[in-house]
Amino acid sequence: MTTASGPVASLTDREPLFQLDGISLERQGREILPPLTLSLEAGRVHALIGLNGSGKSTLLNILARQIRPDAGSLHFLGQRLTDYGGRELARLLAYMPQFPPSSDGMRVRDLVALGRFAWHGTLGRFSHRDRDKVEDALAATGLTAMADRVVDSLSGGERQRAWLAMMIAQDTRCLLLDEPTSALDIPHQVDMLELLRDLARSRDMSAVVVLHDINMAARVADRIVALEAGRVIANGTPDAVMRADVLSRIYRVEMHTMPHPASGKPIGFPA
Amino acid sequence: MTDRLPLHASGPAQAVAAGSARLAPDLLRRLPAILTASALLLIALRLHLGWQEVVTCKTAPDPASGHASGACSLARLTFASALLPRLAIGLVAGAALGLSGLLLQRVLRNPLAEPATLGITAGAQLALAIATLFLPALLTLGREPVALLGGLGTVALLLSLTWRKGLDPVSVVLGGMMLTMMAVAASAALIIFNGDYVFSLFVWGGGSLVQQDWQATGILGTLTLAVALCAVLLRRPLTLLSLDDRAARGLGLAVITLRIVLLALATGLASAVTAHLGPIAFIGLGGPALARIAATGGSGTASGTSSGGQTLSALVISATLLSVTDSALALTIGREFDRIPAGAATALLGGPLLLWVLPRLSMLRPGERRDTGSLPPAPTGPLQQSPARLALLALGLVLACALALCLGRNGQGWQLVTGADLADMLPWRLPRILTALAGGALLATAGVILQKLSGNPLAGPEILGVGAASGVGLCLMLLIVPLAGSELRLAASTTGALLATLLILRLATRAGFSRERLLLGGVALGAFCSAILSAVMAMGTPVSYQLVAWMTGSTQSATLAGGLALTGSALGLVALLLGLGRWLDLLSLGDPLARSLGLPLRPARLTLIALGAAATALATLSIGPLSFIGLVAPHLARLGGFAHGRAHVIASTLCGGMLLVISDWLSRQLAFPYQLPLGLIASLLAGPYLLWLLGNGRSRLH
Repeated sequence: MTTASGPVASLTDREPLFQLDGISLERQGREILPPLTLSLEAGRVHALIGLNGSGKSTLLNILARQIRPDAGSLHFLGQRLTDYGGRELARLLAYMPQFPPSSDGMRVRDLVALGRFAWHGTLGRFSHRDRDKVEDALAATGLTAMADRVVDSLSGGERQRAWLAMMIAQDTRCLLLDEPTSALDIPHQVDMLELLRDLARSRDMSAVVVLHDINMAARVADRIVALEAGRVIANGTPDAVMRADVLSRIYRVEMHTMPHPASGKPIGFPA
Repeated sequence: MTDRLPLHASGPAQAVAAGSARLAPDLLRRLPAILTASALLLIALRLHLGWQEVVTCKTAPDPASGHASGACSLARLTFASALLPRLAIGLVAGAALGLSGLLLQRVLRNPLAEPATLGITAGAQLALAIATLFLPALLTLGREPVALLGGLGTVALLLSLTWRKGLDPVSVVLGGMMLTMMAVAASAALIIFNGDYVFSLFVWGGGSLVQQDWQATGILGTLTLAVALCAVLLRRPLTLLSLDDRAARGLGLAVITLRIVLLALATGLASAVTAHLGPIAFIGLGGPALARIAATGGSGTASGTSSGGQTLSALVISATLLSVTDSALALTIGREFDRIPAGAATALLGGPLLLWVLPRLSMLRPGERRDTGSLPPAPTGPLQQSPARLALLALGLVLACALALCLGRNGQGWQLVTGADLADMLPWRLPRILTALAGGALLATAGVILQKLSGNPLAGPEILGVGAASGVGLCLMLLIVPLAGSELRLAASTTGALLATLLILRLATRAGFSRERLLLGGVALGAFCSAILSAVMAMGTPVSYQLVAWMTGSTQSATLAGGLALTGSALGLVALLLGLGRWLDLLSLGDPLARSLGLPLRPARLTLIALGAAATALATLSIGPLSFIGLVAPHLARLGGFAHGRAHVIASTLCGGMLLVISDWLSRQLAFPYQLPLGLIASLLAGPYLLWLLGNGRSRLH
């Protein structure tokens, strides 16, 4: 399904997706991330969870190279993140901020086509291959029928899918999303996250997603990384994290778990 | 709404605020005292100098006649009837403006409200201009009623426009500033319409404290005392007004009535000042703002100063601020250039002040919604970016040009020129049309760039002060090299525009700086630059006349070679921008996304800013800074169905060119045989649309 993306991509199976060593960040004398060491495996969907102010969005921004850490080393697919060129990185790594901006009168197809910038550049021709990738991304997100509608006229869930389609068209090895479901109601949250997981699996992409809801995270992620004040306090499979003692530490209130009535997987809730 | 605040929100702004607080809290706290002392010192100095002239004339009799006569009594007269009232009226008018600003700020719960930002000053001036020209009989009743009518009219218009947005502070001020620009343009057009071209020079500056007797001082003093008395009597309801409307009503206050009464009082006071002294901007804003800063020591946290004490200190600061400004001017360049108006000088202080206050918006919090988007989205028609529609638009432009070439007035009436007659007319009309066409296209280009870069549908080279800044660049160049050639002029203008754009966009990227505040910052920058220009224009040197010609934006002097060169550069710039069309779309998504999609942010931004600055400079050099074409043309393109990408750029330039060709045609026909300045016509055409846009904010959806 996925096409090779140059020499770096061929290493992905062996190299970790992200390797953080002693990454730290301080703002106005406040420590936001203490030296943090963390390794994220390639080919998995990671959920970053934690309370407000735990540093999960900050961490995602550092992974996306939107924020430069004060110290530490950060490798992405075996190469220092800072060594990638702008377009080179954009072919490997797609990022979506928490509140996507207004898309300024663009149609869905125009927006998705912007994802191809990293491939065709400023003056390059918009090739057949670019066109195919755009149509493929539209189809994969179920937007083909709406491709000619103006993005701002879509519903919240559809708009979020349009932005996801842009990231898919970007054709990267890894997706970074900052609370992609924060503006959606519950059915659309489930739709969005399952679409994300299925796309990541079927296209052999990795993903790091900041999420608020622990049960949503457990439902879609292969790995859950929990932060508290910038420190990793839990890191493992959903089964390993969805335990009363671990959840109580993450949320600083007493939490219980019980098996989901249908799937039998554990769900967590405050006592 | 979550955990990213440590990085994006409240970063540098607060650090700077904290730094300045640490730097000079004591100095800020003593501001009222320092200002008072310097005002008294300067007044004493001027009194001394004035008295000296009276005394020296006594001791040194006129060598020709042998005794002190004419010169001496003139000196005594100057001292008693010019200097003394001028000193007094500075204090009185300053206090009046401060009081008016203070009342407006309380009533509208808007710390940026003041007579000039609400358009009262300009409205009063327009009313006076209309009365002078068409109904001189009205002025026999006195200037105040006429000015009051204009001031009240403007306030009523402004409030009805912004009522739907709950009188949102920034929208109100933005609307007021736009009304001001239009009223100033209208006054100027009226005066030029009547052929009195020279007078237009003073319309821009205005606000002189020069006096001949005590009459104005007496009237203003009485009025100020009366309004102050009312304010003291109404101090309890005034305090209640600072609460939420519903809460105040719940406490038994007739909110609407009280507001109307207080607005009328404040407007009346400010109109009276305008009637006698002309426009004096920013005193009503600066006085209260500085008083607030002084009370908090610049730290933004409230301290023990009572509200009464703060009111008093606001009045003292306002009065002394105007007095100090006037004295400083009178004692320095005013000796040579008596016509430099104090009003222009206060704008020199006020512009930077507004820019400085805007980011420190802890002051704006009470009553202010988190303004994440009360601006309207740029209006869009159904998206139809087909080449056929572009061709249609181009055809419209061709038709407009044909109309401008062939149809015109002469001594006998309207006349359609064709054939050989047209060939005779061509050398006269073609250069103007080319210049207007290219100028419009260039302004539209700059507008598209600024709107995309700032993500702000109301941005434009005129609104953000970029046009005026390019004028300051030109002005400085002319002051240094009086006979600068067109290359030097272009370089200086471009530099001015470039610096202004960089400054404004720096504010835009600053955390927590909303789109409305960006516009307000731009307007403040524009006012500051215009004040510099007014001051230089009022000096009456050769540079002044060159600037007046530049300011009013006329195409009369266009030559064929110049028009062709401008058209060539317009085509070149538009072609460049078309090549970079993808950047515009990516940047409109905001920095984080543009970066993650692989755009080299810094070089891309800088390139586009330089393009926009060059386009603005080229356009304003030929058609002047006064038009809203750069803002309106991209909107028209959107309404026509072209919203993004290269099609938007092309459609915008076509619309801009068409608008300006039509404006130029109107400027030739409306007042035939006189010609109106092109920039004025263009801003009068486009301005109402802007106000409509501002009044149709998103708040309906809330």
